[in-house]
Formats: sequence, structure tokens, C-alpha cells
Amino acid sequence: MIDTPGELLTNVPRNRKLKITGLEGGSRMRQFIRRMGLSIGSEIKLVNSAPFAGPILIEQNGNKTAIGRGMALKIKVEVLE
Amino acid sequence: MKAVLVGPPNTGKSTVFNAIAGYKSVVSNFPGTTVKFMRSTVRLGGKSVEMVDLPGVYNLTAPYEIERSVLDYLIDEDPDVIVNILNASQLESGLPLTMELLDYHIPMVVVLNMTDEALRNGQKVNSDKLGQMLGVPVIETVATKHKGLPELVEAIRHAPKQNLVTDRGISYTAEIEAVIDELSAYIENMSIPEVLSTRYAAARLLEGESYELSKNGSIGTNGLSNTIQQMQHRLEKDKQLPVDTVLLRDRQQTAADLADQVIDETAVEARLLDRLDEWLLHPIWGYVVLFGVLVGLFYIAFGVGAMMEEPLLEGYHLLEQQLLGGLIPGTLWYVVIQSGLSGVGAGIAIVLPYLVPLLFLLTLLEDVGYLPRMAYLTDSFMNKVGLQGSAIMPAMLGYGCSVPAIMATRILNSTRDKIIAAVMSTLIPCSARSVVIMGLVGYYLGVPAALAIYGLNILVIAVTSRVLSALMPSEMPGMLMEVPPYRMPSLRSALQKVWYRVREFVTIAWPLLVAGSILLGIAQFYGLEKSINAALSPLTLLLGLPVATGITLIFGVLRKELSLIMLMQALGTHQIAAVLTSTQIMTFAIFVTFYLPCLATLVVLRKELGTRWAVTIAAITLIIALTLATSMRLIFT
Repeated sequence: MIDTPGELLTNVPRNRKLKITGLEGGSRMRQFIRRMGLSIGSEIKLVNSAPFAGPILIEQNGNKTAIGRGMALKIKVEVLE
Repeated sequence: MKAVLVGPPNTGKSTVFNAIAGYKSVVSNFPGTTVKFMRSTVRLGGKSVEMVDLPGVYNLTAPYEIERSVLDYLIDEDPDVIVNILNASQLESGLPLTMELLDYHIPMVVVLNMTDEALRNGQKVNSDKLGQMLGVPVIETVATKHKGLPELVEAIRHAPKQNLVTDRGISYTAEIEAVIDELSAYIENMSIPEVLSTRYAAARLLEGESYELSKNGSIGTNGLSNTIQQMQHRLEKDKQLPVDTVLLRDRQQTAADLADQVIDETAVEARLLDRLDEWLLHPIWGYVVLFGVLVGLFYIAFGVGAMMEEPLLEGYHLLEQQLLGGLIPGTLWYVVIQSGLSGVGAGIAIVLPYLVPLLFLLTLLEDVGYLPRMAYLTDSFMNKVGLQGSAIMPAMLGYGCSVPAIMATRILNSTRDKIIAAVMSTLIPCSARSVVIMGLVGYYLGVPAALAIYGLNILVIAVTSRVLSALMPSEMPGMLMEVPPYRMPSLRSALQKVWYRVREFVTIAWPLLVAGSILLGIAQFYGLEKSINAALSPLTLLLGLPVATGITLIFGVLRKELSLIMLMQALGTHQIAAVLTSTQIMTFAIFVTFYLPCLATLVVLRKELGTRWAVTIAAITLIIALTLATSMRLIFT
């Protein structure tokens, strides 16, 4: 759906270093995750994914943030290592 | 002098506030919102200081409701000093906000809180060096242990009176600064709020945000937007990223460089607590634990409260009789004192068995850090009724008592979520209504009939929440919530928080309960019961109930279980099945379950959401109760 390289944040293995490469949803989506200091280029880790299509949990600089599934589906990442 | 606490959530901001100024604090609302902040006027070393604890924000660049309220305060209230609280172990993610605040024309003191936690995480922060680099005093604290607070008080007292307009040594990288300078020169003569520096305004305009800039007046006219767009295009072309992203990343890079220079890495203490999430957020075990916590909560809300309430009220009843001993029954004074005392009793029945334990539990779950985990695990379920996971807490507390449940909506981040959650908690049958459901329907018609009412209730709540959330779309497109590390709770600050909440109830709702009770007593004394019943007869007739039941519904507003007690009195028998048909019993119970919140709940609703919403919610409950009870009557007769 997003024409930037990378995989969906919901599809990558856990506890690997990731880099946000693309966001769907324009400035509104950027504003939304900017609230938590996240943006394209942010290095994160996927630490948990709640069942029943619940939110996902990511880590940035040692801080954990839960992101609703609908929003997480708009984030594309590249697995760094 | 006004000192305002600004910082991200989970940095111990409120603990710092409570430790310095908490004992005299009052809760205030931002105008036109349900966003709360604590305010307290204290004497610090002979100086009268108004301290304000603003809601936590990570940065000011995304103006959602919470951020807007912080911006509003900084611009409209003209504080003398900003006390910027940072979590010492999350310096890198906290500093971007500090950078934004440094661009305000307001003197600032930076607090490095939780330095003990930082040390455990292997980080020793050189606060002197940080202070030099930021150009403002930096004070190290461990607020839960009151460490560093005297130094902080001194720093606040001696904060410079004059604005620090000078460049304070923390800035964007050179090429961004160049663009900001260029735009600054362009907008120099435009009218922006006084506390904002021109370079702040320029950075903001580049980011495409102008909420606080246009607060008093208009900015962005006469070719300005063209100039901004050109600069944005230039930066975007250069960086291959949207400008807001460029600026954010630049601030973060600067913050990371700064943090690098002031943090000495030491040995990390491995904490068992950090591995807790492997279990508590596990797709199976996480829900097992959650279920256990919810059942425990439900049990305490429902079982322990009721267990405490009975002997407590019995004891109070004895005391009441003692106090009434010297008076002659049947006189006006006797009635006034008796009903006044029963109003006091109504307060006791809420505060001790329900309010104190439930608020304590809520605070504990919050302080340990389990609350966000609970929200995380339940988010997908709560989404179905248009809310986020965090709303599970007020809902569960609602089965105990609506008062702490509505107070708990304060953990939610938007007015809209608070309103929907408050409607939900109001509709959920509290323990007092459960007394009516079980005592009336369960006793006379059997437990399945009682359970049917609970089932109907859940259905009604789901539908109501869905309708409300469709009518009030959320500003936030989904969950975005920090999940902080687990922390050992401090008993002192937990009890302090509970006390502040209980105090709100005791000082506002309790006197009203007493007054209402006395008023009803006097009305009964002068034989107004008949007129009240007559006035309510259109309602009772609509519901197909005896006219004599009218007054019981008024008593029920004072305290829900009174409607059952007064029902027996009004009908003149304890054998309710002999005088009411099954349909009438069901109709009465359903009406009492849903109709008007009790007086204490109404007061708390008004306090949390304002008069307009308190009245609206009362109206919603009344409409639902009328619809359900009359259809009940029509279907079964």
C-alpha cells in the first residue's frame, strides 16, 4: 500500500532493530506519531503485539510505546539487524 | 509568583508537585475542557508562590487537546518560571521538549528527577555540565524520597525575574538555524504572543503548525504562507523528508548529542521487574493475569465494600440513636437531625467501603505501571464501543461505586473519551443498585431474572457508547500511549493521592447529601409526600406502578438502595410480591437501575465534566430508563 521500501511494522520479527522508512496517511499520521517523538528515520524495536488485533508495543531509546493496530498498519520499517 | 511544572508523563512530575505544594492543592479545569491540572498556593521561604502542575506532554509540536491546554496555559497565564521536569534515565527523549521550552521568554529551572532509577539503568548524569549547556539551573531530585527538593525550592525562588532572551546554547544544526533565521527576519514585525520568541515562531511556521501563534491575532497572511512554502520546499528537496520530520529529527539529534555529552555510562543493575512484561503482556498468561486482576477488582469493588458497609452502617445506626436519644420523636427538630444524620450516613456508606479502597487500588495499579498494560491488553475490545483500552478501569470500578469510577475517567486523555466513559460508568449498576436488583428481582423473581437485568445493562451500554462515539468522533485516530517501566509504588504518595480525591468528595458531595436528606425529611414532616407522589403520578402511571412508589424514586436519587427500603415503607409491607405483580417488580428494578445518577455521582460528574455534561448525562440515563421500563411494561402485560 505504501510505495516506500520496507515491511509492515506488524509483519516484522520481534526484538530486532528497525528503522521507520515510510508512513501512510500524510501529515495527520506524521502529527499523530510525532506526539511521541516518532518519525521517519526513528530507530525502534517491535517488542510485543497484542492478540485479537490489539495494539503493538514498540521501543525507542528504551521507552515503550503502544500503538493502536490501525495506526501500526500505516507504518513501514526496514529491519536493520 | 507563578511557577508551572511542565514535562512528559511518567517523569514524577505530580510527585514533585505533591511533595512541594500538594497539601493545599485544588484541582482546576482548563477553560472549556475537562483537562485537569493541580494548583496550589504555597509559601516558599517567605515568598508566596502559585504552583501549577500541567498535564504531561512529550513535546508541543502536535497540538491535540492535552498539548493545546499546555500551550494555552503558557501563553495566557503568564507564568514567572517554568519548572521543566525530566526523567534522568530518559534524558534523550525528554530534551526535545526542553529545547522547545527554552525558546519561550520565560525563565526556566530544569529538574532531573528519578536520578536513582537512572543510576540503576547505568546512567550518571552530570547535571552541572547539563546546566551550563542549557544555560539554566539543573537540579537533581528523587521526588518520591524528597531528595533534592529544598534545592529545587531555592532554585524556583531565585529564578531570574527578567526574561532570558539570549540564545541559551541549545539549537538546531547550522543549516536549519539558517532557514529559521531567514524566516525570523521575515516575521520579526508580526504580532505573536509575547512569551514566544521569534525563532520559536519561525520554527513552528516551518513545521506547519500555528495553533499558539495565532492565539491573539492572526498570522500567516500577506504572502507569508508563500514564503513559508518556498522555504519548506527547499528544505524538503534538500532532506528528502517532510519539514516537520526534518525539524523533529534535528531536535532529537541535538538532544541525543547533548545527552551523550552529559551522561556517564556505568554498570547496569539487572532488574527482574523489567522481564515482567514477558509474562504480563503474554498472549495467554497476560490475559490470565488481567482476568485475575479484574476479578480481584470486581470482588473488592463488590464484595469487600458490601461487607464493610453493613457493620459500618449498623455501628453508625447505634450512634445515631444515641444522638437522637435526647430529642422528642415527631418534632421538626427530631426530623431535621434524623435526616441530617442519615445524610451523613449516606456519605459514610460511600467513602469508607467504596471510595477509599477503590481509589487506593486504582492509584496502586497506576503507580506500579499496570494500568497502561491493562489498557494495552483490552484495547481491541474497548475499540468495539468506540473507546480505548484505558476506559476499562472506570468501567470496572463502576460495579463498585460510580463516584470513584467517574473520578477514574481522569486517566483518559480526551474530553470525548471521558464523557463516553462517564456515561458508561454511570449506567453500570453500582453496588447500591445491585442491592435493589438482587433484593427485589433476585429475591422475588429468581436469580436468572436478576442476571437478565445485568445482561440488558451491558447491551444498553454497548449500544449507547457506540452511538455516542459515532456522534463525537475522536480527535486521536487510535491508541498512542507510553508504557512506562514497572516501579515500586510509594505508599506515601499513593495515600496522598487517595486523600486528595476523597477530600474533593467529602467537601463537595457530602454536604449536599446531608442537605438533600434534610430537605426530604422536612417535606415528609409537613406531609408533602402525597403532593410529591401526585406530582410524580404521570411517571408512575406511565410505568404502571402504584402512585405511592413515586417518593421512593426521589429517595433513590439520594442513595440508590434507599429506593428499595422506601418501597417497603411506601407500600406498607415487606411482602412486595403480594402487592406488586412480577411485571411491576421488573419495571421498577429496571427503572431504578438506569434512571438518574445519585446525588453524589451527579456532583462528581459536574466536577469532572462540567454542569452541561452532568445534566446531559442525567437526561440520557432518564430517557434510557423510561424507554426500557415502559417497553418492559408493554411487552409483559
